[in-house]
Amino acid sequence: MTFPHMGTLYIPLETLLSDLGAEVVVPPPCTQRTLELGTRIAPEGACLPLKVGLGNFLEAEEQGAEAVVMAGGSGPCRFGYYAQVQREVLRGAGSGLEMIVLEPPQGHLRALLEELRRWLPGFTLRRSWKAFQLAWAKILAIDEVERALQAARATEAVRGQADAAFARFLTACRRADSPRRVKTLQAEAAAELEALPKREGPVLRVGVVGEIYTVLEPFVNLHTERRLGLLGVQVVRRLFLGDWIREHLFRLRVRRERLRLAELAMPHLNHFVGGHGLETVAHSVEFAREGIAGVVQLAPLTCMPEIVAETVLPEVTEKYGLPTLTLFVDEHTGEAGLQTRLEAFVDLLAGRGAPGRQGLTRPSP
Amino acid sequence: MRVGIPQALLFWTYAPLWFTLLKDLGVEPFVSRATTRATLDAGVKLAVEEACLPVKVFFGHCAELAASAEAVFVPRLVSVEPRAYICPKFMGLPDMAGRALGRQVPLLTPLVDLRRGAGGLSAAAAEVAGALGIRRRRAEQALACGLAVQRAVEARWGRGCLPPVALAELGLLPAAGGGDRGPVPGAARRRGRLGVLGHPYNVYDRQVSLDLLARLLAAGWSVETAETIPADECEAGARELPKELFWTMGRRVYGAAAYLMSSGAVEGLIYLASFGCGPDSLVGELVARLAERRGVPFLLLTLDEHTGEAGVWTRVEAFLDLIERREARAPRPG
Ligand code: SF4
Ligand code: SF4
Repeated sequence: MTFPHMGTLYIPLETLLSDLGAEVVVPPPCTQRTLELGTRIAPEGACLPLKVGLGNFLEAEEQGAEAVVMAGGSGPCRFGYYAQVQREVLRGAGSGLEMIVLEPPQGHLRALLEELRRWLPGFTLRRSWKAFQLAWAKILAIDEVERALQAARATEAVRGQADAAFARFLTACRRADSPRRVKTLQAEAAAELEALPKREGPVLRVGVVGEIYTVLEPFVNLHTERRLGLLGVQVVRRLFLGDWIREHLFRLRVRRERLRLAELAMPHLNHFVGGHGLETVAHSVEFAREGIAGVVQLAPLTCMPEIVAETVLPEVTEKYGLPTLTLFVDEHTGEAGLQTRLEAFVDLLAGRGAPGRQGLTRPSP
Repeated sequence: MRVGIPQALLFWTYAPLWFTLLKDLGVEPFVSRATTRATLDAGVKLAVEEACLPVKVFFGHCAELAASAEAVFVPRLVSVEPRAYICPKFMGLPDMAGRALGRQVPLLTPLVDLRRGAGGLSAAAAEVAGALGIRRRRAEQALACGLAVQRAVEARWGRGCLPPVALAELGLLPAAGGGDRGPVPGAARRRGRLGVLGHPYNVYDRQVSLDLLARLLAAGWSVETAETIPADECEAGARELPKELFWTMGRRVYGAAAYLMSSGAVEGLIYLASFGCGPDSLVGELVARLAERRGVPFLLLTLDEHTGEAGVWTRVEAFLDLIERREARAPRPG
């Protein structure tokens, strides 16, 4: 059994599925080859997550995977129909992979469990509860340590130390077999990141918003967060894996949080628009109020909710003097161009005087 | 009060309802002029680069109306039926248009959300009335009239009348001929029949579609579009998919394609997609794959503001040649 990559999702998902009795093939990390394999067979106009996902599936199949677990959805955005199209595309490309689509709308958690039961012979509720607990603990731990990583990157004296520590933590976390062990690892990693030798000088804080897959998958965003960190910027964001799982798979987004976001986004965006468009606007406003220096919006090219958000973001820029940089990525995005734009943006933020000055809007890519 | 309706996006689908509703509420609705290159250029300037062509065209129409209307009608179309949406961009359209126009002109932005049933329509009508300072009771009446007109028009489509022709009959578009780029004339001498599918605002806007329908008709082809096929046939066609499509228009288009292919009613299919359109990227793919399985000639035309008329027509002609050669070689049974 395999699944698409999305940042560190593979760790809890591998834990969950193998504890439930599945034989798991984690797709090789996303590389240029993944992207090429996916792009070759995907519909040309599809958004990047669909293409990279297909690449993951093909690479996992090479390693023996027979079935793919994919989340479904009920719109309004494309994601909910991805799996259906991917199934057709895989079939057309002669792949023997079977698609298992977990559709959230009908019965949320229960339906999900039932679908899994069909595929996992050793499945019992008791066992699944434990597996869920461990996977969930990993998600929360990874999110926490990643927050520490974002802070540590900006201040590390020796470049790369923070990322190395994070990578070690991930490796250990992947193997951890109890929530308690996960907790310990988390504490150790956070302490290690905290204790790294620090450089002198000011730290800019920059918010990252955008479409969740692009935000969470470093390969797809060409390691934007790391690049920013190496430029001495502390990245702040609100979207983490845990949030995505909560709302997308289990629809557990708390009503109060939803209202809070809607209020923040008003009057710039007055309705949810699918994906994370509303969050992009709401978080930008929130960041502006918190005095953050600037916001970077990340999204795959043609991403509909993010285009809506991008259209209204200049209002936030004007109202709060919050510079924003919108980065749309696709299979042709080059590292050099991206780096130049990030550097220019950080320069602008660093040299900026009092808040309220005319902000920067998007130069064309 | 003069309320402008942009001749773009779902104008092509819901104009009869909107126009009648506004008129019965006692305001003076009017429609922006047909899209021209200038409309498009104005829209491109107002929109973010990544936006799809139809949204840019919409902004162009809004800009024109901002100068002449006291309010512009920009409904927030979340859903027009249970369990389905239209497109994320329609959900944010009033906000995008507001930003693009710099709030120069008030927008009339009723929320249309029928995910929970038809009550959403009454709420939308009431919202329009409320925004115009008109009593709610009149909203119900006006809505009833609007719906009656809309149904009558849709029934005309189902009998083979192309929507622009029906709109012209209602006086919502200038009749064909004259200085303006009027609606396309009716069917022509039979040379064969084609399905022309895509979002109505791509298929029927003469500038956006590079006048494809009129050119096909003039070349002697008759055409079927998603609107000219009875709605229940479209529904049946769409149900062939393993999972229901949650975009209303996408479902209609896919259903129409499935129907046209299985009934053998057309010699080929042309799909007009917008560059960067989410629904088109998936629905177009599904239709293409279906066409391949069924052995029906299929041409995908992706439109954006850089698409040139000459290039497109060359591709279309090559496609038509291919169909005719194919027909000559293997005449269909029947
Ligand atoms: S939110 Fe963006 S990336 Fe996700 S499915 Fe929609 S268009 Fe694609
Ligand atoms: S359906 Fe496609 S063409 Fe229409 S507004 Fe949405 S993205 Fe644009």
